[in-house]
Amino acid sequence: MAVRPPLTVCLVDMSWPGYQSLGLGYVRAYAQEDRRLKGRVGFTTLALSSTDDPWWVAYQVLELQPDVVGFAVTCWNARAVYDTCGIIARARCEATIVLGGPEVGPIAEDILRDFDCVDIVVRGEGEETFSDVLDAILRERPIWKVEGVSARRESRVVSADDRAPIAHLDSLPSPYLTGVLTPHQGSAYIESYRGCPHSCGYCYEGKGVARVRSFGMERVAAEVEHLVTVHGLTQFSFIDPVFNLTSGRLEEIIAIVEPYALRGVRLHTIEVDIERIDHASADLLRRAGVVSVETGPQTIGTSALAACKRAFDPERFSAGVQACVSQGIRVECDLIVGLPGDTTEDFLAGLDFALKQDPGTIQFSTLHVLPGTDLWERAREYGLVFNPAPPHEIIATRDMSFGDLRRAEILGTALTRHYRARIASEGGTSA
Amino acid sequence: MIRFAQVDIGSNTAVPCALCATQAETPVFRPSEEISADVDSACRGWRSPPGPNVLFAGAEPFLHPHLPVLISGARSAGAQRIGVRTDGRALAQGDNARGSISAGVRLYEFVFLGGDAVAHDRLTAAPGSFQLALSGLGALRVAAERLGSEIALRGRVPVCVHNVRELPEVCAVLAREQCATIQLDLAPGLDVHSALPWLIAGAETGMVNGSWVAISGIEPSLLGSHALHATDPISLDGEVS
Repeated sequence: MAVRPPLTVCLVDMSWPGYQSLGLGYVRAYAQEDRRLKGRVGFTTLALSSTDDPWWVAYQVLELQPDVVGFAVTCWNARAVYDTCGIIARARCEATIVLGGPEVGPIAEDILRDFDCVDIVVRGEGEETFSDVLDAILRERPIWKVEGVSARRESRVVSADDRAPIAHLDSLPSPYLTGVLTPHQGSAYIESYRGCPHSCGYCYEGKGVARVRSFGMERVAAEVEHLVTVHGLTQFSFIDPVFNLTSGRLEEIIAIVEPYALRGVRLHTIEVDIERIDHASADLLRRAGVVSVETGPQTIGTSALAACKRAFDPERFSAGVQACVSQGIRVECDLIVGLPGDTTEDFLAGLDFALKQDPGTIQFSTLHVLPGTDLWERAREYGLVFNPAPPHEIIATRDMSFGDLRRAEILGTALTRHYRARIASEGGTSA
Repeated sequence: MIRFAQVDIGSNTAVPCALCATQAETPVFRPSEEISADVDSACRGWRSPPGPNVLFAGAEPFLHPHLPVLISGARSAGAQRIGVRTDGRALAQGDNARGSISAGVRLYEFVFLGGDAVAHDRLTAAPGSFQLALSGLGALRVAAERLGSEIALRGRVPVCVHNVRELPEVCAVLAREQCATIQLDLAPGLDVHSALPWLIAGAETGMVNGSWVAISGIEPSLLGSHALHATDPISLDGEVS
């Protein structure tokens, strides 16, 4: 008969269907390797989805009778997570509910005030903080003192000091190499660095940390080899905010991936700075087995570009797209409707620009004003009216009314449907 | 927006309103060689992406004796998108839906006049045509899914005095049938001011049901806050978008 450890932890993955939470994988892998916790904490991960019924999710969690329940929260699953937490807390009030992730970290104290079912919010990177929380629970020490945590001290919501970003990423055990994560639906995501050199106003990719910190190439190589040789993956992706961060780094990664590409392994939907791709780097991407890249421009309106702190050079952008297309790499051009400063005419001009690139895919989305982003902080200044509840869709801007935005959404969606419907779209680019 | 070169394969069956029309009933088709030459010319001269794109119109394409040859020729000429303007009836029959997708058609523009069988059949003077067109739309969706092909459905509504009050119902039907766009094409001579409330009602009905409604043949400023509806994601050579 299995002995129940002193502390049992249930991590609940409520990612969008078809995805899995890399963040929860990191958190668990780190905690499992933490000497303080070895033999004292048992972990279970429930792989569910954001579309699962919260009552059914709560049932599965409660059947495990966990002492601690953890969720990674994004704007996409937040409502489902909050509903689930409310049910769990009322059914098993002794369970400690911990939330982390980009949706809750930047507004941790608000979350604790708004949801009495939530006990702890982890701010920023979760690996060290979550392990320290578990250690504090085991030692019966005050959790509100743990760096990077917001929690209740008696009836007050308090926040401990911020935790410094993890300096040496290689100190984090790999969720794949430790066996915590396995490929999901035939694919997997690798992170080769954290942080982002850009500071786009609508984005939290940099997680508030502009400085780029990298995993060692040996670690990246080991993860790739593990995924391909142990799990037999034939495709995966990098979730790096900018895959072609520097040409030197790009060459290093290509050197790792190219041997697998020669065996048919493919990289899909990696995010690139398209304006920095020339024929040489497009050739590198092809050699790495890249079949599709994702890029902006998000907008081509000068006011919105300035408000979002984005640079845009149409000639370099076009050259980058053509370089990729000429190598057989499908390009996904992303556009956002509802950015501050954009008018209906800017929106139409953006669609027209994207069409003229004939990139292969045009992806069109509505602005979500996300916690922790510059637009969230400066929404009033920019005249952005958005839904305070997740996923925080834009409702109106100074330049586009509610009706303008909804019309733009439908027009954009219709246009992308017409664009996709072409002979060459099945299994290749439109080139 | 996405430009198509409209190539007329014939004349006299553009599905006009039977109550307005003075056209002959029998379609007149152009010789295949002429049509193919037009397609070649359009594709060769294509300069601005995305494209080349070709729409066969002017007469019911599924009545043309050499439609497969014309489609095959358009593919050979390099067309990225091949479209047909149809009354949809033929697509409900035999293997036309699957066969046309397999051949390379990716845009299907359905001409609708009424929002239900009574109105549509009366205006087309073709009993049963509404139900057959809906069956054609359904057959296309099923065939596209089975073939794994991405097709785009589009409604085209020639608007005249006889169907202007039908527009909300027509747009609702076409949106329900998953048309990405619906074009309301105003007949010359239609009193735009009296039609305006119905045009906007049609546009809003499409909107709330997820289809974009484009209104052509009207000064955008007349549409006020709905001026964006003068924008059509599809533009045809020789037409105003």
